[in-house]
Amino acid sequence: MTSEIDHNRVAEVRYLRRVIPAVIGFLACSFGLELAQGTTLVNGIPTYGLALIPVGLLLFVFWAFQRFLSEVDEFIRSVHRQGVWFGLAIILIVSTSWGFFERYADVTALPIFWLTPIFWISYGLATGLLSKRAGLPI
Amino acid sequence: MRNRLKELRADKGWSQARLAQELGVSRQSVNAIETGKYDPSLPLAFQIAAVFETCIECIFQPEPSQHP
Repeated sequence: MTSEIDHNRVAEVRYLRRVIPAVIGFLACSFGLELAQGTTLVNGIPTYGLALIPVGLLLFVFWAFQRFLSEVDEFIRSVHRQGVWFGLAIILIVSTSWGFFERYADVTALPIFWLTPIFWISYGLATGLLSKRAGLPI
Repeated sequence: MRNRLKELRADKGWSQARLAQELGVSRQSVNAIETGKYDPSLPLAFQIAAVFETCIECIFQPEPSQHP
């Protein structure tokens, strides 16, 4: 009989196998588009199509994350949900405070697509700390 | 929420891992419930009660301050 711990581990491995390539693709597309912006490689209408590639990958990541949450047990799910709350709080704080800085302190504009990596990094750090505190494998 | 999970588990002579297997959750979940760090969902609380062949309120009681 497969134990639930194994079941959780299997769900985690399946999630990482789906998400890691998608995140690498997302980052590669994001940086690639940024580097190619304004060059002869990327301009005009095709730019809109290319910009949708990382969006598609992001949708896939959220689908995989939802699948993962539905496959693990409820305590592990609660730890990840707390991590999501922390990530959302961080991007709301960063976007709001940076918005004020841009408007009133004339700081450099922060490209809005950075909110996605900021969210995942914040979520990852919070979930890692919460998992460690709960004795869960990180 | 206070609970008697550790006591009931000890009566059966089960480890946290064994109880986790009975319930179909991780050992860490059992530990978090026993130490009061996590309150289980109602379905899981029913499952725990069924495993120990008792009622939910015989295992889980609200903290005195939680009484209305």
